[in-house]
Amino acid sequence: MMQMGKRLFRKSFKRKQKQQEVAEHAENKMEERYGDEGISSNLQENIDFLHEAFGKAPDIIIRQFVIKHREERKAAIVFIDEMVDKDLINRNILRPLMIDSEKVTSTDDLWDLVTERLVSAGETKNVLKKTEILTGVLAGDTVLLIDQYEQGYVVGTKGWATKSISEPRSESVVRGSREGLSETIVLSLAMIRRRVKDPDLRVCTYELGKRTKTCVNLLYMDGLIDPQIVMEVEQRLKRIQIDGVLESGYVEELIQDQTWTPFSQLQNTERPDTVVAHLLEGKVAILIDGSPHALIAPAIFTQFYFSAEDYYERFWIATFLRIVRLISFFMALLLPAFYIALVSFHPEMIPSHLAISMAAGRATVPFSAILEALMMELSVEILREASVRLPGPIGPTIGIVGALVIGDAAVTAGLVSPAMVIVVGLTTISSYANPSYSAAISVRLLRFPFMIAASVLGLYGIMLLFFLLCAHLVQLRSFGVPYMAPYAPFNLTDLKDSLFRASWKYMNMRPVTFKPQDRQRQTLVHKGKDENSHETSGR
Amino acid sequence: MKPVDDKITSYQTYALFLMTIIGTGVLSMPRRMATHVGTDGIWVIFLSGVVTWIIVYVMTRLCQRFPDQTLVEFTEEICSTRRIRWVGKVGKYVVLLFFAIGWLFVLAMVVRTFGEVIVSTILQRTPIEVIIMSFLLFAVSIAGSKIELIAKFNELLLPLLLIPIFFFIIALFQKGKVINLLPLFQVHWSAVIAAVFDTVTDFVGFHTILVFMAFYQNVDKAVKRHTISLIIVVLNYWLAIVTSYSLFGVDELKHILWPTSETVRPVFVPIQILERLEAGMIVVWMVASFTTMTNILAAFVESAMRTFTIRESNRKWTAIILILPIFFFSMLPENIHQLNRMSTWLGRYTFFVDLLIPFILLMFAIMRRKKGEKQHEQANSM
Repeated sequence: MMQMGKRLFRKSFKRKQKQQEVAEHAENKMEERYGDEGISSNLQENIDFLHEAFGKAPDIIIRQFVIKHREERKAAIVFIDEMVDKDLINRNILRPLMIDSEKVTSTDDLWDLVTERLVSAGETKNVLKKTEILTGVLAGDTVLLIDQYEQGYVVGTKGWATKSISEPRSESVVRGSREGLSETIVLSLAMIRRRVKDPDLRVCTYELGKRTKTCVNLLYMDGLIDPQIVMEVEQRLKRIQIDGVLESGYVEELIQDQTWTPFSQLQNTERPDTVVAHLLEGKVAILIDGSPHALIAPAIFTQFYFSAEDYYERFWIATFLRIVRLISFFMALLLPAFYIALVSFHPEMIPSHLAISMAAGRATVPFSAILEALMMELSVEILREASVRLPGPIGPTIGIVGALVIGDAAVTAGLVSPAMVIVVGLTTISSYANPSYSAAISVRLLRFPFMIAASVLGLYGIMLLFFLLCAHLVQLRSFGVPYMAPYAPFNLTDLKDSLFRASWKYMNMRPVTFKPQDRQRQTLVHKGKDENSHETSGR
Repeated sequence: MKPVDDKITSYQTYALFLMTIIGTGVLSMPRRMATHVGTDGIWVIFLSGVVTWIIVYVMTRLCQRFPDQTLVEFTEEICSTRRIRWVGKVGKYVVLLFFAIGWLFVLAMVVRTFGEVIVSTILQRTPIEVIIMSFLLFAVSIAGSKIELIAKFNELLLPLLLIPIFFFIIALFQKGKVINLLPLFQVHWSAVIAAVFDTVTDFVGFHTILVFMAFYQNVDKAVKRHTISLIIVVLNYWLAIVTSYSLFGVDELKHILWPTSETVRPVFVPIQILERLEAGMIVVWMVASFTTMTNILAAFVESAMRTFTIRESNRKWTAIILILPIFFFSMLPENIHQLNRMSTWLGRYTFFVDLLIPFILLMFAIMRRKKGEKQHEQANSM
């Protein structure tokens, strides 16, 4: 089935490639139309060009003025309203050029004077082509053009209004940093830089999206990561030919290994500390401008069930919570299916007291177990969707109304059995116990095939589907790393951070799964004694 | 990205071997042991273990002589002579025919036994054809993938095999009676031989190593690994036998169809989530039978593909074609009695094929000084 899917996909991929060639033709309009055209020496001509290129957009501001130095020379600056720091423009570009230039008595060429002595900004660039003016302006920089010079001067003035650093909404913790990554890529990058003060942190920049020109950063620790992974990620990023990238999800789907799977093969996170933790394990992180979600690759199955807090709290509780999550994973996946199988095929397996009360509850229910379960699961999904979309304070209300009122009424009306309500409630709660939303979604989806299998072949059907799921998981790979590592292929040393988390004292090595070049995590090799206790007593 | 770590690792070796061998037979084995040798089954199982070990040893040595080659390639190499070309091909086809018949029938018996157990325990009203067909279809979707994936699949499910051991031990402590295990050494040696013959079938599937060993990362330690896994299997079986003997006693045991799963029935577990714990046992046993099925089928598909040089993209279709005769043969016996008789005969057949052919091949290989070349250079450099 999987292979057929792949083949289908390959065919459509070819077709897509063809379409892409056509699209490329149209999309690279800007480059094509203006090509290598140089900047004109006539200022008015350049201004006319800009007006035409932007289609007289109201937010494009072209300020014309005169630089007075030995002789009067016309000049103009171009920028986009609200994308620039206006203070900076007024203070560091306009003021020196319009006012201070008169006082300078140098005999230098005007251009050199302007670039070397007058404009007092940090990030500047000389450009020669018209397209470069456009990209500069679109990126939020200011371009200075002076009459009779066939070049432009791009001054970095990016400064748009941003949201202040906020708490990560989807991955909140009790203990640990409250900072979440920002929508502005430089800010996110700075947050990560602040946490790893190591020059080995490499940042490669890509521009994805033919029209959106979204800035994408690839982060990794040089000399630590397996270079093959970096090469592979780079290759896949370069292959992206889409017109727009608005969220990390675009990139995730475009570079993942397998499309025909409910499991995500890249992890996304809002937490800078999580990003750093993964970088230190020998993975890459991909930051996308405009999205507070960073992507982590390669990602393996287990890491979707780890929370950042697992590493911050003591290892006992971390281990316990991981076991709880494993149970909740199986409950979210199999509980309704088990209920259906037990009720409709194997009632003898239910303890007799429970069976009697369950039968009493089901006596008035007019539907079969599978129909009952599907109805309930579907209504819970609707409730969930409704409470997510509703504005802030109303959301929880819907949950309470839906779950309590409708559930209770349905039971009293004899439409569903009380046991079913418990099963559905437990399932829903279990699926929320998952630290990663993207992993929770896959379980949510897989629950339904299991329910149908249970209604057709009972326990046996559940087992068959379970085998298929295992076989599917085992053949998945994320950037060459087996998805089910360290369980299959089995790796004893990596089990220290799997279902159990060993104390940091004993995790001296980085996980082998990601083949880090530098395996050592800490140099001090503890042999199980509490060295620290002696030290503190001596003090 | 090219996967580099795809060869079968040492842990996967154990997983493959254990999961292949422990299969359908384990449910009925204590009964068959009891009918043949009575209480002496407790030590006779070790005898069948030793006999199996001899065969496994011969096979392992044979495969070690020809690293990275499966049954298909090395039989041709052993049989071929320089003067007459077709001798090697004919030898290959004859040997493979023997194995293919064995495998077809073994798979048919495995799947039929599976169906019978399911029908008699958890799905009483479902027609057996539905169970067998669904079982085969799901097995095909997994067995129609590469051997390396099969190995990982087994690896992932291996921990589930630990569950029955707890059941056995709890049952032993709660209800076991030592008196049921005695007296020993009362049986005639001919009955012992019959019992050994019969129970060697419970180790069915070990001949898959003739194919799987070509994919091992390291064949040098294969003998040790196979021996250890075989010891684990024998101990597991022994535990099952001891538990059912001490719980039921020999005379009652002879009349219980699937004694191994019945052992958990009298067990009382204080936290009673599910009544009738044997369903849990059946679930674990389903895992064991399913992996037996997929592993043998995968080995079968692999050797069929190598024999007829079928393209990799057609692997799934090969598997689908192979299940048709398996389904047919599995429907041949009309009832459990016939099924048991057939599997007894099949056991003898596979026993001789497994014992004689590898032995003869190994003898020939040694006499004619044939040896495979090592192709491990790339594997070591990575």
